[in-house]
Amino acid sequence: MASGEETLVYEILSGDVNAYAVLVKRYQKPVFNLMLRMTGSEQDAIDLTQETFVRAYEKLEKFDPSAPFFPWLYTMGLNLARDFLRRAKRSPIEPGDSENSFIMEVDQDGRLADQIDIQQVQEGLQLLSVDYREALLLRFHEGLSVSEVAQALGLSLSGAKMRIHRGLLKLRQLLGKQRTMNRV
Amino acid sequence: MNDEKDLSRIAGLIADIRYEEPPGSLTERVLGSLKPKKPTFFKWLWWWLRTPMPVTPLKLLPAGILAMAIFILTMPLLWRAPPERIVTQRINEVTDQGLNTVMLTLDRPDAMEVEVIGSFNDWSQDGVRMIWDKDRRLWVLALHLRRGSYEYAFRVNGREIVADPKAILHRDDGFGHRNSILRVGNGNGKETRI
Repeated sequence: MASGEETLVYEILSGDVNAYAVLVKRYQKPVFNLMLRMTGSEQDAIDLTQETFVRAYEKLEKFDPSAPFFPWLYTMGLNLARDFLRRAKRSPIEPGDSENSFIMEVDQDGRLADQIDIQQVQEGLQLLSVDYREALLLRFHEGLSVSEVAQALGLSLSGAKMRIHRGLLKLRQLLGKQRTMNRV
Repeated sequence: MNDEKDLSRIAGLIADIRYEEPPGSLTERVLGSLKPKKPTFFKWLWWWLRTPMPVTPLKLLPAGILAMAIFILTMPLLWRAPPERIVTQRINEVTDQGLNTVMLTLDRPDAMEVEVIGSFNDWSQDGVRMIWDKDRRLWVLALHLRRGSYEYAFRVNGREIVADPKAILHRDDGFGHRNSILRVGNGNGKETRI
């Protein structure tokens, strides 16, 4: 758990609403970006981020203060985003048809690792399904442990490990495809 | 091997992705829509007890219980039970001839220690310790004294000077205390406390 969060949670529960500002400031960026990825709309992302923090505050009595706060918050945000898209009869930004149909050798003329950049990875992530994309971002961008990823995404530990590994493989395939298409 | 390098590189690039900044007013918007929680007293107390502190009350609890257990367990060892045998104290280094046995008693079961001080040994500060008789629940002492008249008093717990309640006559000692008066007869084993 991040530094002092357990104390913060108890302070909030005891009536100090301002202590919640620390948690909001600490986690608003990843939650806001989750909503951006899910909706593609800045305004919707702002509203959903706000709703996520308000909902978490309302349900804070059910949270175990000794557990890490962020995975719990993230789960709540992900569910809210999915509910929002369901109500709006929209789909989260999901991969195109090409993802599953494309299998190729990515290492035809040198390592892929030497030829990809952040922009390509970011684009590739948007082509992954939500489950794989969020697993990879939680693990490698947010730095969560595998068990925390499992908690945030409602998976078993082995399920989370598999999700992360397969996500990396899928992303590697996508990046290889992109590179090939760019060459053509 | 290349596969592993690719995956490691991709993971590193994911870590370096730049996130969009949320609007600066987001925290205020969130806090503006919240009301402070009002927990019940017992909930508040429970949370306060569990709040991490350098030394939390809950962390102190086992130490307190341990200290209490040690205190309770060592009390019997610290308590000095009064001796239970009745013994006879010989005051004067003389033969038994011409001596009378005098029994003194004091009803003070609350006392830890009782001594007798008196003129029989020139009011020596080293009083003669009385013995606790658990059957009679009395402090007792047998003195062997020559015929004569003596003044005496009990010293309870080393500091409280108490006159003998069974004595009929007392005399002020000039220091705010009363001495009891004991008269020993002619070796017939009887004494008179007057």
